[in-house]
Amino acid sequence: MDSQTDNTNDLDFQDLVSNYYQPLYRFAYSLARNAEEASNLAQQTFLIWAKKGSSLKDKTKVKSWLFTTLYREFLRLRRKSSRFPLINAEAIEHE
Amino acid sequence: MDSKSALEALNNIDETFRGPLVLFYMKELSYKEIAEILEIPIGTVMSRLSRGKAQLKKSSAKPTQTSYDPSRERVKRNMTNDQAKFILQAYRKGQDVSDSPEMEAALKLLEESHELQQWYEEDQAFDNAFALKLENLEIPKGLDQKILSQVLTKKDNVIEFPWWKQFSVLGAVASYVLVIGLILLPTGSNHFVETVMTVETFQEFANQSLKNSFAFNARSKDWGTLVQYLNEHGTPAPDSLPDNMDQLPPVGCMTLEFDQKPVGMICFGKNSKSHLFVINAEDFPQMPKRQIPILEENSFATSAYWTGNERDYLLISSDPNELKEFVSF
Repeated sequence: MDSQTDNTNDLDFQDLVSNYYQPLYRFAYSLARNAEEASNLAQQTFLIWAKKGSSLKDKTKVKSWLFTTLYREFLRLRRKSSRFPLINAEAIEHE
Repeated sequence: MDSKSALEALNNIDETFRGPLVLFYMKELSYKEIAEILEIPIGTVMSRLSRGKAQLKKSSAKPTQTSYDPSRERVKRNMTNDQAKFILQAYRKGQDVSDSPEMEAALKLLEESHELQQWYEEDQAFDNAFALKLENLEIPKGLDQKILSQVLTKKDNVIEFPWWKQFSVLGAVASYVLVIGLILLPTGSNHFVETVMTVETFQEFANQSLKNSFAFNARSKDWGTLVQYLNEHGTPAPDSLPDNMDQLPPVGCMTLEFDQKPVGMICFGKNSKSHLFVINAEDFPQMPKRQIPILEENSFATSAYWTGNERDYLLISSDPNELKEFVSF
């Protein structure tokens, strides 16, 4: 851990989780309508934060960054899991 | 409206409206932020909120809502009460309306119309009740701890400590160096093999933790504060330190786990290059007893293992010079 890491990690991760895991879970629940998927989405969001978010320059954007990431993750997972059903649904619609 | 029916009501809402509605009711974010998150224009946020709320009220017990939807009309001039209701549904107290002439007009109408005021009060009551129910949505127990432990140990999602990057490049070579380094050390112990293995395991754990973790649980330049934090979190903290080592300023600490036993870590030193790992001696009775810390230097790092009163310590540093004063070679 050198001084550069210190600066970019100014937000304490534990605080971050305790401040936002509940609203993020609620948002995830409203999207997924399923407790398990909502938990996974919240966890995944913080994992992505661990990977990329700590490079976020503007610390005032942390909150909307987390929500944005969760929303994108939700859309991505849904696209992924429903790739075939989606194609089928489209085919049916066009009939 | 109990919390279950609030959520059931939400379940009946079109997906397009659920996101904006929940973000609105959580009161965490501004419209601008909601628009950014959902990647839609602010005007669209407003209109989805109004239509979403209309759906929500319709599917909740009290059907008090107008079905009017003027979203395709221009409503600036000669606004009717129904139009104003549609707009006011998306209004949030204290919101800056200077960039929304429709909102300004609707608020003006609200001041003038008694009927509208009555409706607005009911609408606010609905909002508050729903926001409260959303707040009461049960969060799975221990989710925060699950997130913390998962993120702190997940190997695929690593942000490495810069100085350990060198070490991870060395990879397997380094662990050979470590073993050889320890074998070559004259320990004089009767349990030579066991000693090597357990201290090595501790070192490997320390190395993995440094590679896989990315943020402190607490930060402070004061040893006492960090020790207190660790104590409060059931994590072993130093009960004593080698002479004057506490003169070096700490940076932060982490709570870790090894084989389901708590491990404390304090990062310190001028360039945050030294890490002190602490375990409870009684959790690891097989660990060897060494009263005096002796630095073991090899090509990638310098480390020392020693035993305190009730704690065992492992010190790892990439800057041996700053430790030489306090720990003998």
